[in-house]
Amino acid sequence: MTTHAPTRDRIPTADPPPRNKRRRFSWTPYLFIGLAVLYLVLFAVVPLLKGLDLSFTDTRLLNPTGGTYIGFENYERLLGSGAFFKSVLTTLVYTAFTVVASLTLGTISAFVINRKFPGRTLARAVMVMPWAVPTVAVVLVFRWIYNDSSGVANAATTALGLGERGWLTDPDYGMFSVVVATVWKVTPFVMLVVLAALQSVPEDLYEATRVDGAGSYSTFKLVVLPFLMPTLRVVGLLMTIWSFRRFEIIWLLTGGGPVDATTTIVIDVYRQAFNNSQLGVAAAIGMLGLVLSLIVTAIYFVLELRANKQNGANA
Amino acid sequence: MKNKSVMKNAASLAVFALALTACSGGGGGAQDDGPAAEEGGTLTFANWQWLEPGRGEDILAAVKQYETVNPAATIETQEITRADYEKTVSTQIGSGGGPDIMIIPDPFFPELAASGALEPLDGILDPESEEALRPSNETYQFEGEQLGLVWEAVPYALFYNDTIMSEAGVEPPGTAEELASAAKTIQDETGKTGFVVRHQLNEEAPWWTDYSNWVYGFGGAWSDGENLTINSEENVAAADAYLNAYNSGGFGVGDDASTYRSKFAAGEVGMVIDNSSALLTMVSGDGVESSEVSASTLPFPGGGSAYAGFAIGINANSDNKELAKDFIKWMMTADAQSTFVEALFPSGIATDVEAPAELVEANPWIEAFYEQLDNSSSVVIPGFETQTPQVRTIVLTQVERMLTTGISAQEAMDAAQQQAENLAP
Repeated sequence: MTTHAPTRDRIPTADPPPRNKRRRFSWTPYLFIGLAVLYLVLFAVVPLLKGLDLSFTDTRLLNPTGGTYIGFENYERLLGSGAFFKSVLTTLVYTAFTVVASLTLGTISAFVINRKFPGRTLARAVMVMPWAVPTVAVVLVFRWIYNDSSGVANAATTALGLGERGWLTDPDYGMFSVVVATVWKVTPFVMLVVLAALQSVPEDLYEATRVDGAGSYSTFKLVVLPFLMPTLRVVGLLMTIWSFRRFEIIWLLTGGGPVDATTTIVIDVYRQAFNNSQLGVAAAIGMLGLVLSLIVTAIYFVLELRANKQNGANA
Repeated sequence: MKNKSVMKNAASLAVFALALTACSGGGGGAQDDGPAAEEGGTLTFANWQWLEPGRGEDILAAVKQYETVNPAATIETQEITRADYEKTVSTQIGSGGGPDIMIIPDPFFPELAASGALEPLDGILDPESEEALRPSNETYQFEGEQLGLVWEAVPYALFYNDTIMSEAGVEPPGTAEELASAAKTIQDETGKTGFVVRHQLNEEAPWWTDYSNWVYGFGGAWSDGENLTINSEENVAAADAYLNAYNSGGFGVGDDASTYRSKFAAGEVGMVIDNSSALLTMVSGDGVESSEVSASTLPFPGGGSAYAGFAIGINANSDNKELAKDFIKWMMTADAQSTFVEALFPSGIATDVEAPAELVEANPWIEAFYEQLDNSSSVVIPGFETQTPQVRTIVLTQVERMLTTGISAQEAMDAAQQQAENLAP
């Protein structure tokens, strides 16, 4: 007598598509893609190419079509002067401090308001407010806070026995003051995104770690962080790109000063274009800034690729 | 059939997009002078002064009188803040548009003139108006053409709050050293800001005029017409005096113009070097009254000063050039000038028509400004007219460096001279 192991009935599969049946051609997907392509070409590619073209000319603001080609002269002037490299360094310093501080504070804030406590909804609303306030209003408030003679910042440092500081007038403090104002403004964005990521961590995982006797640190390291990392990487990239190109808060607070302490690449572009009317030079600075942004983005994608590979290997 | 329809829609879209691109390409400027003035039309008039409390309304009322002379014309104001004025107008003109008529700050004039953005005004005035023009109108000639006429010349002086001065027990300063020590005494005795003047790069354009007062006041200049003289002995002495005032202990460090003007109006600042229009605005509110303020010529050894000069000009892109010329022709008539001298009080205007006596009596401090105006110069650098904005950035950056990093006036001016000489021609 032979016994047969029970076999599972075969799952019926759908019939494969008939090979001889031709797929009907449709223009509709091309139209949808075409609109997006047209938008990108008109508002991204054409201006970019125009900017590249301008960077090889001596075009002036009042006569944007009257420039003549001067080859690499603008680039030679920029790369031969210390001022450009100083503005690159200033941009990197501003970006590094802004990104690290806002990611750290935003993540901590997200953890805090993810917990249940009385008045949590109100606390969330209040903490999001800086993101919603117009930048000009933020700058006005910070200019008042930083005022040398009647500002709150100096009143506080004097009360603490630390003396007065030139928050917006001393080159040693200009960058610090601008970074603080920026971090105050952008941290709520990080907080909101991280909060959304935190809320997507399945409750079962928390429970499982509790059952296994894991402490808070282990839970954070083994459960929460892996969930947060992709979000933090994307937010980090966004914050980096936004910091590279941030203009209004720096311009309105310091105008690039004191003594060029906060002259980032974007401020330099604006000054060349609108103070000195040199559109060609401004376009060349813009192009070099673009290269810098591309390098940062490339680094991000390399890191992302490595992380994905590592995840694939661990899986 | 369906595909044909989609193709047709896509083609229409492409045509629309191309049309849109063509429209945004910017025009090449007006090809003619537009309809005759009698036919009327709308004149757009760009000026930051529309936004000045009190004074703006008076100036607009004077301008609007043209509508009674030419009922077919309408004046439309274009309000642009002072800080953004040059940038906004440049962008508009560069794209083939812009206002019909505009007020032009002196340092902006050479750039506009050199790029052909201004319509010549030669021969548009009546012979009587032509004769009445002040010689200072020649400032606005470029390559033999009159491209602008004086709108106003705003003089500078040192002015002070009499109450604060007497509370502190200080006399009006007659030298730069006395200015610094009076500032310190006011701060110590009253707790109020002793002295303040612009000192930050985020007010670059007006700071240039303010700072030039010190240079011209010490007998210095920005150039000799051929070479830059940024680090001349007089200019270094001026920078040193400016640094001493800043470090006096009574200087309103960090206050921008709008802040210290509000503070002066509220009776919180002792002394200021600023222009007469600003002072008039400060004493026109509910705070310090005109009678509580006195003024004197600048306490510097050379006697010179800068003035904030502004021209009126017509945009070469305008579609209403004839109407715009008619407006300027009317504005320069004796009757209209009498209206403008009152509206623009206490500034000097295109002709030497005198300000109403009652206004002068009500604001006795104006005499010091008028005295200073006789010995004042433009802040455009002779021989380096179109490069003035770039030289300005270099010089003021070094001045800011001097104020905040401890380098000497000589080092700052030497650095500025070297950088400015390296500017591309």
